[in-house]
Amino acid sequence: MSDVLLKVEDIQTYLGDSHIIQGVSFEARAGEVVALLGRNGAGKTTTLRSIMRMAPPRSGAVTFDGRDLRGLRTYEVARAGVAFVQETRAIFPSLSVEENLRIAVRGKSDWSVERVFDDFPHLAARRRNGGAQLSGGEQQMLAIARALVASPRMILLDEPSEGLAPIIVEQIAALLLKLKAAGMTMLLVEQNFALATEIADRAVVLGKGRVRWTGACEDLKGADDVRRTWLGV
Amino acid sequence: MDPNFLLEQVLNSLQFSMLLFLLAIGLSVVFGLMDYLNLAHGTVYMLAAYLAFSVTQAGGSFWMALLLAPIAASAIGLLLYYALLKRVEQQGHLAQVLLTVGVIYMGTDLLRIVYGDLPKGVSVPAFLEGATNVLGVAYPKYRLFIIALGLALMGVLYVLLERTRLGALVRAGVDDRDTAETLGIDIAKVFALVFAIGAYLAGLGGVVAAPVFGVYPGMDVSVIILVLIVVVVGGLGSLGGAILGSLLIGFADTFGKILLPQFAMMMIYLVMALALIFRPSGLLPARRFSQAG
Repeated sequence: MSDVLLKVEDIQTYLGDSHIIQGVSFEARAGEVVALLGRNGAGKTTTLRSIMRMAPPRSGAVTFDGRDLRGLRTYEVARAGVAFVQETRAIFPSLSVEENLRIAVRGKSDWSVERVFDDFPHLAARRRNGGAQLSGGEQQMLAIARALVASPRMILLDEPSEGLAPIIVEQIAALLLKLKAAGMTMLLVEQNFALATEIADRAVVLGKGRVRWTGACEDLKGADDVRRTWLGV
Repeated sequence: MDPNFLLEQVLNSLQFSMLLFLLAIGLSVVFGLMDYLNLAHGTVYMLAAYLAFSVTQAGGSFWMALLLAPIAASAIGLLLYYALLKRVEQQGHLAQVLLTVGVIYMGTDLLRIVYGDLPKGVSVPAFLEGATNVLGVAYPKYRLFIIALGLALMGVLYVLLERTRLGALVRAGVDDRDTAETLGIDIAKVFALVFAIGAYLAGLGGVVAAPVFGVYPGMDVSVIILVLIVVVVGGLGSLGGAILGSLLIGFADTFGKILLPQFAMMMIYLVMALALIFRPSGLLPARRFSQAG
C-alpha cells in the first residue's frame, strides 16, 4: 500500500453566496491517477481550485504529503509540489513560449526546458513566439509542460482534452500515460469518460457538490445507474 | 508655422512627454499588476522634488539630489504602501481612490508644514545651464538632458521588462495574477518590487521637473490628472502603452496651448475621448486574456 499523497477531508467551498462544494472527501495515493468526474456544475473545477487555495474552502482540510495546506497562499501550495493545469490552459499571451516555461522552472525536475523542446518539437519551433499565437493543442501541451518543469509531486489537470481534435487528444492521452508510467500522481478532471477511465486508476464521481461514488474505473464502467444519474453517459 | 518655432515646440513636447512617462509607467504597471489605483503616486513625485530642494539647500549638488531623493521617495512610498495602502488592496477602486486622495491631502499639508506655501526653486547644474544650438534653434540644455534621460530610461525599462526574468514575472502577473501564483510565483513580492521601482521613477520625475516647473504644494495634483489620462489613452500595464500615451498627451498639451490657447485642456480630453471611443482599453494595453468558466 503506497502512502496517501493528497487527502481532501470534508471541504466546504463557497463562490460568493453559492455553496458549491458541500462536504467533499477523497484521497490520492502516491503514483495513483484519480479521475474526478461529474456533470457541468458538479463542482469539479471548484474542487481543484479549493486544493490550490484559489477558492479557499470555508471548512474542511486539504493535506498534501502530510502537510496541512490551510492558511497557505496559492504560490505556497504550488511550491509544496502541486501543479495545476487549468481548463483555460492560461498561457501568458505577453510571454514567449520559452518564457512561459522558464518562469515556472523550480527545483530539479526530470523535465528541463530543453527536454520539453526535445519532446515537443511543435513548441520548440515556436519557442520565441508569443503565447497567444499557439493553437489549442499546442497551448495544452505547453500548459502541461509548464507544470512539469516545476518539479511537481502531483499534477491537477482540468479538462485537458476539451475542445481539441481527436488526434491531439490521442497525443495528450499518450503523454499522460507516459507520466503515469513514470510514477506521477495526477488528479484528472475530464468530460471525456473513455479518456478518463483509460488513464485513471480510480474515479471519484461528484454531483451537486458532493461525492456520489468512489471506486476503481473498471467498476464504474459496469455501474450503469451511477453513470446515468451522475455522469449522463 | 515657422520651422524653428515648430522644432522648439516639438522639443518642448518631447521634454514634457518624458516627465509624464516617468510617472505613467509606475502608475500603469501597478494598476495592471494588482488592479490598484494609486492616486498618491504623484505625492511621491512631489516629495522627491522637495527632498531635492533640501539636498541642494544643504549644499549638495543637483546630481546628489538626483541620486538620493528618488531612493528616499521610493522607500517612503513603499513604507506608505505597507503601512496604509495595502489595507484596501482587496476592496476595489473606490476604496483605493478615497484612501489615496486622502494621502494626497495629507502629503500636501505635511510638506506645507515643513516647507511653507511659497514655491521653491532647484537650480540646474552649471554645465546644463544656458542653451545650445539644435538645428539652428537655441534650446535650453537642461531640457535636452530631460529628453535624453527619458529616452535612456525607456531603453532600460524595455530591457528590464522584455529581456529579464523579473520582467517576464511582471508581464505574467499583469496577464493573469492567479495563474502566476499557481506556478509558485509570489506575486505580492513581485508587486512590492514593481511598486518600489515605480515610486523611484516618479521620484526621479519629481527631481528632474523641479528646476523647470518649480517645487510647490499641489504640484502633484496638476500632473497626476494628466498621468491618469496618459494611462487611459496608452492602455494599462504595458511599457509601449505608457510611452505612446505620454507622447500623445505631451504633444497634445504643448500644441494645444499654442494652436488653440483657449481650448488647451480640451485637446487632451479630446485625445482621451477619441481613444475611449475607438480603443476603450487603450492603444497598447497588456495582452491579458479573458478567463473562461
